[in-house]
Formats: sequence, C-alpha cells, structure tokens
Amino acid sequence: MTEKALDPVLETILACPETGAALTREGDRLTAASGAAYPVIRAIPRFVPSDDYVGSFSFEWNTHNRTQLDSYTGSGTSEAMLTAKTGLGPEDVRGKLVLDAGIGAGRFSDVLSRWGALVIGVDLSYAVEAAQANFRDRPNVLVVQADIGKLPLADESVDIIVSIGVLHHTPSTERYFRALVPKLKRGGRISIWVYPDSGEYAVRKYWIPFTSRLPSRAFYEWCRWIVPRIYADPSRRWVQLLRRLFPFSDQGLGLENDILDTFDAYSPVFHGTHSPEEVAGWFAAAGLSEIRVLDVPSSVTGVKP
Amino acid sequence: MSAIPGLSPVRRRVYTVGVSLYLLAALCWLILRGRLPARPVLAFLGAFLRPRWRVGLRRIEPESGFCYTAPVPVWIMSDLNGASGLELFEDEVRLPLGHSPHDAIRSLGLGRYSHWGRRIYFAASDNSDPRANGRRYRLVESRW
Repeated sequence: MTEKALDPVLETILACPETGAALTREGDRLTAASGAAYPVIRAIPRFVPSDDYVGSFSFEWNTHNRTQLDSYTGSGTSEAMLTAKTGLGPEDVRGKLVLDAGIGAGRFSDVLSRWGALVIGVDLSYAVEAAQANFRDRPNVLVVQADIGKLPLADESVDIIVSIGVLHHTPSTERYFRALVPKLKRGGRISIWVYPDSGEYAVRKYWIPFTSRLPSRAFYEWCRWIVPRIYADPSRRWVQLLRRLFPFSDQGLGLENDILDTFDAYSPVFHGTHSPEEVAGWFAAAGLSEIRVLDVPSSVTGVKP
Repeated sequence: MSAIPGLSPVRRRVYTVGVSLYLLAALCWLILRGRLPARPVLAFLGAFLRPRWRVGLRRIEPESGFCYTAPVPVWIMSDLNGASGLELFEDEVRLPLGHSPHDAIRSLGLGRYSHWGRRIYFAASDNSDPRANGRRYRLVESRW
C-alpha cells in the first residue's frame, strides 16, 4: 500500500470516508467501488485537498518535527503526559489498533507504537509529512491526512481512540468528538484531553481572534524573539506582567519546547475551552460507560458498551 | 532548531517589531473592552512616575516552616492582583527567587519569597530565623 512495509492489519484498514466502503490500491490512488478516488502522495493517503483552517499546524510541526518526540529527546515527558491525560499504559495498548486523532508530528504515536500498538495517525494538516518522516521505519504506524470529523475508517474498526490537545482546535469540539465514537469497537476505550475553561486557557481565548490572523512565519519569529528574553530572567516585573496578560508556555521542558508551545497556544483559528463536567457530559450523551474524569483537567476517558 | 532558515535579519526585525506593535494594539483593545484587567498595566506604568519605594522589613513574624512574613503597604501592587515589582535584599544581596509558591517557601526556603496581598512571605537564604540572624532585610521596588 505504501513505500514502507506496513503491518498487514494497517494495509487494509482504510475505508471511504463518504460510504465506509473498502478501498483498493490502484497505482498511486485508493479507489472505492463507488468510483471515489483518493491519492497517495509521498506514501501518505490523502482524503482532503488541503490543510484548510490548520495551516499553523502545518507550519509548526514541520518546523519542530522532533522537539517533543521522546525517542528523539531521550526524555519521558510525552509518555508521562500520555498516561496522565488518557489513563493508558503499555499493557492497555499492546497489540491493539489505536487511532491517534490529530497526530501532529507524532509525539504520542511515538509512545504508542513503542508500547506495541498498531497506530493510525490522522491529521488534517501537513504535519503528516513530519510524522511520516519520523515513523519511516515503523511498520506499526500508518499516517493519513484526513479530517477527523470525516474519518476514512469503517465504523467499529478500532480498539482505542486517543485525542490529546486536538479537538478544541476544530470548529466544534463536541461535534468532532461525537464523530470519533462510531469508529470505536464495542468494548473499546476513548480518551481525550481538551483545553479546560480556566487559567491561561481562558485568557488566551481573548487573544485568539488577533493572534490567529498573524502570518505563521511572522508570529513564530516573534515567539523566537520573546520567549528567550522571558527565560533570561523570569522574575522581572515586566515578565510577570506579560505572563498575566499574555500567558506564555512554561512547561519546564526547555526553550525550544516553550517557543513551540507558545506558538501552538496562540496561532490556531479555533480555541475551545471546556470544563471537565461538560466533557464528561459528552461522553454520557454518546452512550459511553465507565466514564472517568482524570486528574488533568479536562481529561476524560470512557468505554463503548 | 534555530530561527526559520532563509529568513534575513532585516525581515526578522520587521516581523518582531510589526508583531509587537500589532499585539500592543490588541492589548489596548482587550483592556478597553474589559477582557483583560487594566490595573496591572496602570500600576506598572505608574511605577515610572513616582520615586522607587524602598523600606527595611519590620514586624517580621514566623509563618510556617522556613517561611516568615512582614507587612507591605496595600498600595504596592502584589502578585495577588497584578505583578509585584518588589525585590527582597538580604544585607546587600538580592535574593533571586521571587514570585515563589508559598509551599516552596515553607518547605524549601533558601531565599524564596513572594509578595502576596499586604504581606511579603520569605525565607532567609540559609533558612535561619531572620529576626535573629543579624542580617538586614529590605524591599526595593523595581521598575522593570
């Protein structure tokens, strides 16, 4: 199916996003019986014509393609974050088919695939180029460019769905969450983390109408200029003031990460914020069971009965 | 990872100045619309229009663990409602860990401090009792 050797399960997992019908590989295309055809470009099946409203993610993940990848940095921060925000560990995913809805450059698919999962990483942005390069040698990772609101997967086809820090960047966090649930097998688990409606996330919401209009290159260059100055002496009064009015990323993971994460926090077009109770309500309305609100707000996990 | 490849220094400067001005205008708009608080900005700017405030700490009281407190005038902006500009000096040495969480001051100490509301919460650099270690503690308001 692609230039790299893929696990046989991943070879045949994709389906027509319109009908759910199986797809057949014909040269550099995937075709459905209905006649619909989808190109495979640079070994990535493409189900969308462009990156639509997520151009900032295309830019940031191809600029910082490995900054947050544990297997590159040697740290375990993404692994710890994955566990904290999903409640999942290696035993939960080993041998399972896992959908990473919003793969980005692949920080969480990196962990999941090392834990032994078969991973389908989907993203609307051209971050898929970075992810594909990062997983060139992993037959258990399939990278796909598609809209997570219109997934190229048959219903009830995956064991686990994770979506960390993605759904709030769609036009409707709840609607896009609801679009994921049908793809889950019965007994399968879905875990998501979205921005909580408090703290720095609430302040940033006011800035988004302004910052999301900035050209990515210009705003990124500004982040590269301002964040090191904040790092130089975080106790200065102007830094404290700026933190309060324009909260910067300060994850303790180094300067490059905070430049990336500050850009990431302010550049997207959509920036939904949701309370844990609201998110848990979506899980209940979707008919999920064993719903748990995790310690990291607003992380919620549930099982499809 | 360095700056964006192929970006000239001139263009980089144009980007940083242009975005800064744009965000400054956005900040003014957000404050005028009541989305962001005006008080911290006014207090920050006001600090340039009056003499720097400085005073020796008096009426120091133990709080908890390594933490001691002393009163600060209410009109000096603190981290509770803005951005504190107070720096704490032990003799002639500025203690480096301002804006510290109070739990860290209590449990770790070592010169951490926080200006919160009407009080300064602090620990001596060696976690000794600041009322008895023979050193002088004074607060100086910084402008930046």
